[in-house]
Amino acid sequence: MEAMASSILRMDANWVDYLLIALYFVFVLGIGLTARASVSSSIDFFLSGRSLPAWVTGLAFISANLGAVEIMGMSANGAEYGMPTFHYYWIGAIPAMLFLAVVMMPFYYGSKVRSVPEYMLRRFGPAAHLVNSISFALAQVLIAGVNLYLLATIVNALLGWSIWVSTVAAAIIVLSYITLGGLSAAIYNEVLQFFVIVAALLPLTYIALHKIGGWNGLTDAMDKAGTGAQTKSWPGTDLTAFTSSFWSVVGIVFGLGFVLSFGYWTTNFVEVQRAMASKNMNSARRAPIIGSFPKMLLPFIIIVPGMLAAVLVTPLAQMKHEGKTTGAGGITYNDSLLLLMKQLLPNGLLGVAIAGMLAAFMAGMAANISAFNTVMSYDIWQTYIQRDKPDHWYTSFGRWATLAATALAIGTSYFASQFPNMMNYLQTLFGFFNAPLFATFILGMFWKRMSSAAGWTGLVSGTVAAVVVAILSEGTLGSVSTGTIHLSGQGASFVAAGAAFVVDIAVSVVVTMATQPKEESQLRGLVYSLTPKEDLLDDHAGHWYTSPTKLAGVSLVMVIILNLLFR
Amino acid sequence: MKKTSLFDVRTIIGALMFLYGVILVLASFATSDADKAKSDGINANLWVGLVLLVFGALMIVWAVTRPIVVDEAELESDKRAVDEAAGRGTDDGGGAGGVD
Repeated sequence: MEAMASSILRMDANWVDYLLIALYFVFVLGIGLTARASVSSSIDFFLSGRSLPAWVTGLAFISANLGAVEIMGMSANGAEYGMPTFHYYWIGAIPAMLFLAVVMMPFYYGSKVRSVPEYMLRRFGPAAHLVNSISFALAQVLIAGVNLYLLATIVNALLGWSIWVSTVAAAIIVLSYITLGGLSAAIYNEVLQFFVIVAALLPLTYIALHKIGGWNGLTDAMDKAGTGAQTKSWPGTDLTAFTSSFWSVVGIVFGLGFVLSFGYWTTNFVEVQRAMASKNMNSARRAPIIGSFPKMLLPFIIIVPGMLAAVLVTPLAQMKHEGKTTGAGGITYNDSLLLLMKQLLPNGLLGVAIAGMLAAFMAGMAANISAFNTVMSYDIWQTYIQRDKPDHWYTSFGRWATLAATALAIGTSYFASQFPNMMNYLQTLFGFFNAPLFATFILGMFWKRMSSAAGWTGLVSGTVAAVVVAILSEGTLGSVSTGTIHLSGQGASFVAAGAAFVVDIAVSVVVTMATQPKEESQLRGLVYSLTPKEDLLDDHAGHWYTSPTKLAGVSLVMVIILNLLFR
Repeated sequence: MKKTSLFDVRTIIGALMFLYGVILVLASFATSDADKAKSDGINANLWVGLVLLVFGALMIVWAVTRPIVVDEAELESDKRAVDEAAGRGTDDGGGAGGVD
């Protein structure tokens, strides 16, 4: 099967393409080496010394997310469902990013924690902290495995190396640049990767639109193919699989827009860590907002090329017309972007595109690994195992943790390869780890009465609830799932996440009522009502674009306009 | 002590984009007619190459004319303040101070 897929996907790369790809890797490793020279203390290695300007952390914020899953998954969704896929950005990301910036960032940055679990430690004490640290570290290794597996399949398809060789080669490159330069190197590479991706996808979209006769040409072609309804983003019934338009809209706004997206964007340390590397509170709050502007435009160069591929690439159009999920030569919707590149890009630009794809796939994994080593070094090792070592000892421990995480990721990538639908597997993981965390966070930040015992019991019971739903559903966890309730795919993940959220809140409230609250003096800066209001104000904002709230307002208005234009 | 940072992300982005521009523009002279036909008659390498050349050059100009100046003494004291306020290194574990 792999051989079939690779023969139709094999790019006819020549030496110019390889030169461009090689040049990119020289830069990546160069960044690692340079960063090593300027890394002096542990806070440099893990939080980039909190010295980066807002536009850098803002771009890193979205680039950390712009990995294999996003590029392949969203262009595939674009090819299959069309415009409703835009909701993953305009409903499923932007509002949550703005909420993080305006409401939650003051607590994260102001409490000067290095990681999300460290916040848990200060708000709820050791038990909640340990539970969260372990589940987080586990989640990162599992997700790094997904990224590594996708990366390896692309290298295999593009260059023809075997999956095994591709996996190890990719792992070694990611390993070397994080071990050398820590978070600074990871962040710099993410920003660099963002520009390479745009340099590849923007011309690809332009050429494809030119070929089909502009936006009208695309809608005409889709009307002719009988998929004209896909050129409108609402009500998106194909995407949600709800028959009622009304419930589809409700599902998108509350399911995707609230529980899943707020859970993901506000508690995912991979993202939050990017903003915490900012030089001051104002930059930390602006990072997600600055990131929201390119984020709302990204679907035009990720989803639209997917839609174009489903019309322009003959075997893909054929496959869509017949309503199948696998087409000639073993292609699937996941291959949309690669097929379009192969069809339209000349040698040269093709090299830029391949470099961009490889970069994006490595960035996802690098982000997981660097988050893992922060949590492993500080939250688990320094807190519970060896407390009083000098600073440089933990930095070097961080490098070993990186090596171990990479080795583990090779194992979990094999595990991930057993799942036929990567997106479902990932959504399930988010349900296990992010949904309960979000519930505990939101309750803990706004309800000062919430006790330490409620913190850890809520997390554990929320995760257990999600796991139980996943086991009872059909095929969510492969052969482990019993199929007792008739839910499968995305639907099952949504219900698992919802169950985790509700159970977590319920258990937290009940346990809080039965236990002692924490002393208020210990909660300053950690709970909304006990944080001095001046900590939450926009410090020294001279212009509207330096004020987080005003900038967030502009972003929100723009995303509403986009929704209206493409409804 | 103040010093300008050589490790400026703008220089790195600018350099890579500029080099990509140079390579693409050179490659565009060798782009075959078959390759141009693939891109709907557009000489994509040439145009993208030119845009990247200009973009890369602008990034480098920006980095050179408006360098990031790092005040090392201030950075060090900031780091100490961060560590102390978060209760690391010291054992007070107390509340957070202001940020700026």
